[in-house]
Amino acid sequence: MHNFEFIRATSVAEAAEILRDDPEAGLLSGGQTLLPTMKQRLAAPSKLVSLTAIEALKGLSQEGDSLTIGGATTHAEVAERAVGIFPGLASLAGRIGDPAVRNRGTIGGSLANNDPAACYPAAALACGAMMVTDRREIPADDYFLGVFETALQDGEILTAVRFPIPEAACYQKFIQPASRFSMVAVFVARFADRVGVAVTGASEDGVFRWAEGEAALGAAFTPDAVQGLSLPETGMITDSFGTGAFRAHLIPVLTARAVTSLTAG
Amino acid sequence: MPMVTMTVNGQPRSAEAEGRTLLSQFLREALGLTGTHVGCDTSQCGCCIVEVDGRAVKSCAMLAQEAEGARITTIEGQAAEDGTMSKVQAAFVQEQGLQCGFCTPGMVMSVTELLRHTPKPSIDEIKHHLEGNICRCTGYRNIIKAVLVASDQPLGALASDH
Amino acid sequence: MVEKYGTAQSPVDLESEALVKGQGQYTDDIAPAGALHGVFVRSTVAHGIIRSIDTAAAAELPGVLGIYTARDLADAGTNPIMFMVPLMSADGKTPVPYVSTPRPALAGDRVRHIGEAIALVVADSAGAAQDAADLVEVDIEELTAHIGTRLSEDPVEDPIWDEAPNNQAYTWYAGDQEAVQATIAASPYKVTLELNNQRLAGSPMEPRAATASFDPESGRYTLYAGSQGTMFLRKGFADALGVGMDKVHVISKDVGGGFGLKVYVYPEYVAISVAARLLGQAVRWTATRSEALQADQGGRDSHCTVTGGFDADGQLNALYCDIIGNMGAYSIGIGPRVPSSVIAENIVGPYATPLIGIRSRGVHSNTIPTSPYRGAGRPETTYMLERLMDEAAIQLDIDRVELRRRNLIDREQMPFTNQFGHVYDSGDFAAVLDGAMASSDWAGFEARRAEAATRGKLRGIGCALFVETAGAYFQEPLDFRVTEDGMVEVRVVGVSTGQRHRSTITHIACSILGIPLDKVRYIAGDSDDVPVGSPTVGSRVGQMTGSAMHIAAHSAIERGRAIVGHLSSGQPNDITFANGVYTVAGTGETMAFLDLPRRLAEARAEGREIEETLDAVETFQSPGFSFPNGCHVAEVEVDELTGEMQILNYTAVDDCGNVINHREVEAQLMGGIAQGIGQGIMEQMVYDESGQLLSGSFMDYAMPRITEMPQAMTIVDLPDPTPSNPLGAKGVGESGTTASVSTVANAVADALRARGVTNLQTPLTASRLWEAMRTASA
Repeated sequence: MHNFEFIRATSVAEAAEILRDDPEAGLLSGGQTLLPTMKQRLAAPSKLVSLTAIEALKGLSQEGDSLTIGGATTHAEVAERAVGIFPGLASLAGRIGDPAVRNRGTIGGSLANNDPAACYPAAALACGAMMVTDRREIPADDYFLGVFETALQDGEILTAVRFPIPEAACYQKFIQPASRFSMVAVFVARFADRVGVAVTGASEDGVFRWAEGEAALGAAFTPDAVQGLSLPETGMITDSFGTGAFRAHLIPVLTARAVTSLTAG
Repeated sequence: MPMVTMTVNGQPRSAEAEGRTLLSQFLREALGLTGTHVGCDTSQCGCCIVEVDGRAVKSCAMLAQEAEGARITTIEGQAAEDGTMSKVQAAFVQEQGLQCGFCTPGMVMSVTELLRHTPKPSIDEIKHHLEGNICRCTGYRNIIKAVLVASDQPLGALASDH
Repeated sequence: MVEKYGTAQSPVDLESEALVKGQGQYTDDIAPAGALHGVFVRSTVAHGIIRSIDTAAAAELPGVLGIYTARDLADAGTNPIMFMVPLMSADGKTPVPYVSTPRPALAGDRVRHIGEAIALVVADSAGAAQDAADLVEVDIEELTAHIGTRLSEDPVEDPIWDEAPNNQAYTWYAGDQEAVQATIAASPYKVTLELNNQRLAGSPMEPRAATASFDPESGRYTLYAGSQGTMFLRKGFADALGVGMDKVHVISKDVGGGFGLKVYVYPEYVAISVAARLLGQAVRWTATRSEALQADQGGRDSHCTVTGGFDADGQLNALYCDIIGNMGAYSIGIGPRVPSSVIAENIVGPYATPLIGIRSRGVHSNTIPTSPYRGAGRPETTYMLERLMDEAAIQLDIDRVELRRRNLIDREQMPFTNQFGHVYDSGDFAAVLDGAMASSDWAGFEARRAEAATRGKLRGIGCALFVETAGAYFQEPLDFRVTEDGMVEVRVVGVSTGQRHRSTITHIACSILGIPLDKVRYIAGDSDDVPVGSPTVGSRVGQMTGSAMHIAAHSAIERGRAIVGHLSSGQPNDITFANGVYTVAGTGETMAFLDLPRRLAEARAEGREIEETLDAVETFQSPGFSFPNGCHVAEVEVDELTGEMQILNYTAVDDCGNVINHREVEAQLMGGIAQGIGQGIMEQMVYDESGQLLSGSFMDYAMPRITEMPQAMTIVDLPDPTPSNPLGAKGVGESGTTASVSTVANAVADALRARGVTNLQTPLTASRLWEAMRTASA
């Protein structure tokens, strides 16, 4: 990779200042996606500002029916600590990549990068999470703009994400066997007044909410409610691991599996 | 070039590192700890796993400067000073959980972390924990056996392989 | 007489402890301090004409010491790398013409695949070399890229080699084509299958690496590089450098996996050697994984159309295989032999087919050259035979196991000379079939299928029988010495890439000589220090090197007996040998085998003239291949809704002859099976039509992880020893792969047959299985 200056920021303000002063500077959180990308020389920042030493960006806190997770919290920490609060999210976090990746990768890094096959964006979108930055709060529906694109502006730092805690949630992940990212994955979140269904890995436009599935499950939270539905294969990713038709087909199947697992017993 | 200092296998170690120097490079090139291997560029294979502050991480996906002040344990720190293999290492040898040996340091480091928090892992837990360690030689079966032996568990159905 | 080693003893393992402690000496681990770093500039275009290479900006960077292109290598007197092993006719007598494809170490006027090296940048740090490589500007005029394993009858636009207007590399025939076709035409049942063996990447976990240096005084190059044996590599290396064999020294220490792709010289080794000479300093290079995927030789990649003519009672009257083998851009190693002569060596299999014909045609494409990958033609051959048997069983409405039985060669027919002249000296194919049926509870399968159906799972079972060739290159030298300090020194050619050769060979030596394991120094991998011979290929080391060890140890005992005769009062026939000690009958005088060199030296110092020595280079000459065989069974479940597939049980019943070390045999089988499963269910190198590599990292090249392995495995040895070597051992390194691709494919086909699926091609991904079910039901 190209060389850069490494800076370990001790506060969000310090990190923000560096980014403001140098438009070529970039943020480093867990680095599990960024460093491989830089090795491929697809990114070449002048400075990398590490966020992982900023204590304010770490940890989980529950307030009433919402869970706030600091941007520099690792997947492993979420997997371990969210179990009693938001088990569906803990389970998702415990299946990102592999244990060593989970020990470094962070939720903020994942959401800021918005890889079209990443896991967290599905949970954030299905739950209607709030993205908290050093400047403002952005609802998930306004945040995910497309493949590797978010509403974050230059130099804006994602400091936390605040999830409304659903009554029940389940993440069904069909893995891409080489990368262990999702080939298609569905997050189903059931709230008192609505059901959120978000899909990652499938669409050429990145993570999306499956409105038809949400409506059907909102009316009847049963596997049968979605089993008969279908999505168009247009716009779905086709690659050597699966056709667009296959990905489209998996969405209701995985959604039904999630509902089954939430309603069984 | 900035100087980086960390505790490696219990010893304080310092050396220069560029911003881009990966922890794996730093261990191998600057400290001469070549037991940590690099098998891919995209943190899939797990050959480079070391422990950083008690957590297994892929050292090819971490910068050396990020490890400033950290406690690092590598494969070279697993055996006792007199050369006695750790329980995990001995189990890998006993069950032939390796062939070419290139992925083995990462495997051993991964298993060592697993057994610390899950002393008696089930086969499913073993598989879930080793999903990020690719071995091209063994077909993994003897690796599962090694983990069972290292955690004092019977081989059960796996014993009937031979 | 056939001796048996150690089946009852605890396994000997002299190698694993160092590796498990991280003390291995892989090539990149032992690069000398201060060695310069080389980084290659590679083609990003699959096919094109190099118009210019601008290195000026790169040369300006601090730390850069040299930038080399094709012109520099030509000035230094290097030659292109040439295809080494002639393609011979089926009878082995006549060379078959093929397109000459001189492969430059650095491409000069033309690039022929993505990742082909164009320039080498050498700098005092890896970072500086990489930064500079990024600044090298290469202007390439693109030509039409040729991708895919298909052959045009007509000339194509921009052929890869002028000599081959339709990119055809060779045409090769075996058997009586007309008789085979006529017999098939006259058979009441004609069964045809098209089978694709997709391109694979061997991907040993250790990426290729090398360090080169040059000694101006001796004029010798030294190359450290992982290999399966230094001798073939040394030859190609010397030829490419334009020097004699005595001017190159090649050393392989620990090697992190080979699988067939670490046998021959690679372009990078030549380029860094020239740079080392010109700079007067050692130059090191280690491939990144994305480089490895672009520049390691590829595996498989052939398209086979197989046709069988059957009688109504299931007799296979004639078999025809029409094969297109994708050579990639260049023919390298034994590349052209894999889809041709290796197929002929293996196509008879366990069946007494009266007539077999093969047509094999090679095609060049704008991809990495292909050459052997574990099995190298054997898995492809088994795939043709065993998929054909299953499909014929359906069409003839005969049970698939019964159909195989009706065609088997009987144990009583041994020695059986097959149609292509190879002699099966042993092998009880009915016994391995019976054994596999019993071990897998084949008879009880339908109940398991019915149970699975209640869970929405399509359960299938499949088997594959195979007979394969092992022991390629029939001469094996071994240098045996005993030193005055009482150590046996054994020098062998083949390098272990994970097979624990040292353990197995030392074990044989110590069993015969009656000496402790720590009294053997095992030396391999240094071309200055080992005999000239063949590398670790073709499942050969156990039987070949093992037999050479056996012969060397026994002959040393006899030479020792004569020496003891001189040193004592006894006559050689009065001297017995047991547990490492000679005893002179009558006097009871004893002498330890390991003491003889010291005693000889003392006697000579006293002026006695004794010519004998314990030392000798012994060569084992094998009469031909051995024929490992077996029957494997897999049981799978496929999810009806998603095509997700799980391998539940895998049973391997193998005859690899006498077993020297059961645990090693089992390890080789399990590893081989895993690689075959990889081909069966997930691995594939993917190029798009423009020749861009889409599976360019481990993010996109899928290999089995621990989660993909069968839930249960049973491995059974059913040895029928071969008389062709003193150990009675057959090969085992490739058997697992040879069988498992077909075994898994047959099991999946069986699972999906109820849904009307008839055509399946590997890799059997969930998407493909789902698409196949969807298409069949439409």
